[in-house]
Amino acid sequence: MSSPARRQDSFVFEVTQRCNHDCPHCYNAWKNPVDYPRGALPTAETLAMLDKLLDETGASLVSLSGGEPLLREDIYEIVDHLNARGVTVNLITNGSLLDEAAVARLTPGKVSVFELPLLSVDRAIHDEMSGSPGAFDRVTTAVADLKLADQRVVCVFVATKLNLATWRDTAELAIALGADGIMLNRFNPGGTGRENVARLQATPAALRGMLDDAQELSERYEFPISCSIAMPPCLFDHARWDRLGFGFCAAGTERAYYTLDPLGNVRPCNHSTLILGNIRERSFAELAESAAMRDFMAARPEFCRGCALEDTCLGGCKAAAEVCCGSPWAADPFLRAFAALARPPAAQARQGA
Amino acid sequence: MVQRVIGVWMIVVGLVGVVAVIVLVAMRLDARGAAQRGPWWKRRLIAAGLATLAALGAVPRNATAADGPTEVAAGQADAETGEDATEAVKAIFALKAALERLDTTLQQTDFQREALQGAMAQCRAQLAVLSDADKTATLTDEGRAEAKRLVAGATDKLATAEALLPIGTNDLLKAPQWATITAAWEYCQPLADSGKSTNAERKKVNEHIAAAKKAAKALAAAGLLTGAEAGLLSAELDRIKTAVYRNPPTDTPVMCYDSGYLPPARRSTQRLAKRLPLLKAVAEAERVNPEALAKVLATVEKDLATLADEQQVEALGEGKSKAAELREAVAPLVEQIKAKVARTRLERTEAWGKVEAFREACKAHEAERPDLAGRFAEARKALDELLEAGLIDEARHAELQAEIQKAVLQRTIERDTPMCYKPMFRGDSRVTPEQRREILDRLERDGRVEPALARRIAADLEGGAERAL
Repeated sequence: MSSPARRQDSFVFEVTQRCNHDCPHCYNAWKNPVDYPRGALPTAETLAMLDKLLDETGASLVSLSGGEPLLREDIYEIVDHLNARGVTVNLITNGSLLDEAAVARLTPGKVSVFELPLLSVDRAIHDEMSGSPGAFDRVTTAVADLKLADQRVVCVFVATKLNLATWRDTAELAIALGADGIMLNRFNPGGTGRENVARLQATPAALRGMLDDAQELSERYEFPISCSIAMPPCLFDHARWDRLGFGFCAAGTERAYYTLDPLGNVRPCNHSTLILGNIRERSFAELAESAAMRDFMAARPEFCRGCALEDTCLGGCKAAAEVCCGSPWAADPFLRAFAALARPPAAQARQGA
Repeated sequence: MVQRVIGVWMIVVGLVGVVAVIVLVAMRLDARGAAQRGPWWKRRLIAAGLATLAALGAVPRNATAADGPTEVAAGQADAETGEDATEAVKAIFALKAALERLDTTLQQTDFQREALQGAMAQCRAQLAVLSDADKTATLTDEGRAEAKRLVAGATDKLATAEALLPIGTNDLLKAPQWATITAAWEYCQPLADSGKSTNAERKKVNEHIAAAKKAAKALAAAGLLTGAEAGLLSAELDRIKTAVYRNPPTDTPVMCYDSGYLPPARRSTQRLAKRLPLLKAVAEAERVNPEALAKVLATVEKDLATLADEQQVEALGEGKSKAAELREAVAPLVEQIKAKVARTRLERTEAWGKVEAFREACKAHEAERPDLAGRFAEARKALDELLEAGLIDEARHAELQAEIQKAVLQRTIERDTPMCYKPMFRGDSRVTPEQRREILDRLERDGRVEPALARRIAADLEGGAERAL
């Protein structure tokens, strides 16, 4: 096999657009008010498409997402195919279909990390945020069964006004369940979430309180917690929470997570609706170097011009800006909503924000 | 034969020394420090180990111990050149080793005089060989060029070492000569300012100033001051003396006293003209000594202010244009010097050391910088301290804060895992089963966890114990 034309460490594969939950914070691209292509390919074509993308990128990690991946009947075949190619597989699932049989089929070693939502220790809140009664019981059982099978599990907490008050206890539940880490993500508007911003969006102050608790929990239990949705440094002084991991937009870099939908359309990430093209018709290099992708990578909000951290932070989530405000050059809607509170990073640090 | 025996002996000593160094490093002890302390046999063994590792390129050459044995240099020369090499070839290698030892000693703030003298003696011994035309005749053209280069470098270094030997320290402020200079200032400046002094006091002023000028020269020869700084100090001492003698002595009645009055602007012009080349040299120098410049810049700035005063400058008549030229030439130099002084003062502070330590830590590989967050917090606090102390202004403070914060943020970019949407965990979970059990019990009591789930978790905990076994 020749060297990949354009190296990419990993990508996200949305195996299906179907889902058995109805989360008010869902960011899925096809849930935005755009004419997004719907459907999926048969198994053989899906595997061929994956092979093409893997050959052209040399990716060693694929995160299977959706929708709900386990709704796809050939999911195990996809996992086996990727394993046979030596690719590490992560599975992002709501856990509702991870019964004992499914767990047994996916172990041992077929999936490297399972990411499951744990939205609240309060059953009612978790079920409300999942849009599915009984979701809490199913996901907690799934996590426990995965841990019994000695699998690696990361719980995802999407921080909103609905569940923020229960964050601390929820984190402890995740720890008691044996989770290997928590992804602590602020609500990032997009998809269905665009219609629920007022109901869901927490303030920076409330989120800082959450981060303080996360820091304390991480210290007390020596437990890893990561904020994987951009937290703009002009609103959050990251150094205050030195136990937590913080990530920023990787669009266009080797560590970007280009997203492949079930029909082969490639997007900059799973939050964006921007289709760069179809991998079955064009090469990945063409898509990654297209004018649309270059524009996406170059995008910086006017608000952030001149900030010393502009090139690092990139103004937060460009995809959220794109889907909520029409362009990746707009400000991240979170930043936009709280712009009056933003301070240059150095001043932020001095004020102990 | 004898040389071969010595060579083998040196190799054996070197290898045993290497083992000793490795043991020290494995025990996280300071090998270089160990080479300078303790019994002679221990120092020499470790020095031999360090020298052998240096020869093998395993440690930088200048890490070799300061007071290692002379025979190490010779042994190293033998090891590198073989018993058939000529005396000149051996001298080249030996001189290189001796110069490294001299460098190491000269870099120590509180060096041992004996160590410096020993290093100098080694250099001189090899210089004697390489300065002998008959002996260097056996060298190739490249060898002779190398020898010439080494001789020139060694000669300069020895001159500095000679000058430094009586001073006994590399720290200007600890040098007795600096104490002489500050004593002169303390005694003479008040008398110069008041313009009133007795004959006895003037005699003492003369002695102080002569001693201070001599001391400045000695410090410049030793490299603790630049030549230009010593020159400026000397010029300032002359000014002080002139000021002391401005008026008649208070204990001698005089009818007429010619103190050589000149209009202030003319004096300023003369002083600045004399100081201009020295100020240029200081402004262009790599390093400055704030303490020395603090003694001279006030007069320069006062002279600049005089030449900026139109009324004062009027008295110069045709000399006005020269005064203006001088002012235009000197003023920017003074600003450059003050900026360098500020930077030097800043870089000497412990707070700045923390900022530099953080910058250095950022360069290390992820696995080797476990305490980056701690160093970042220290660096950030240090910058606030520097701002409060007035050593940096607000703009520089903001710039540096952003720089160090960017370094922390960029660390997340450089990690192996992707960025947004992917877990950026700092290490694995170290939650203990006891902690999990404690949380589980509490959640169960609060009704947060159903019995069925609690049983599953308990089973995992028990299973975990078995898996651990």
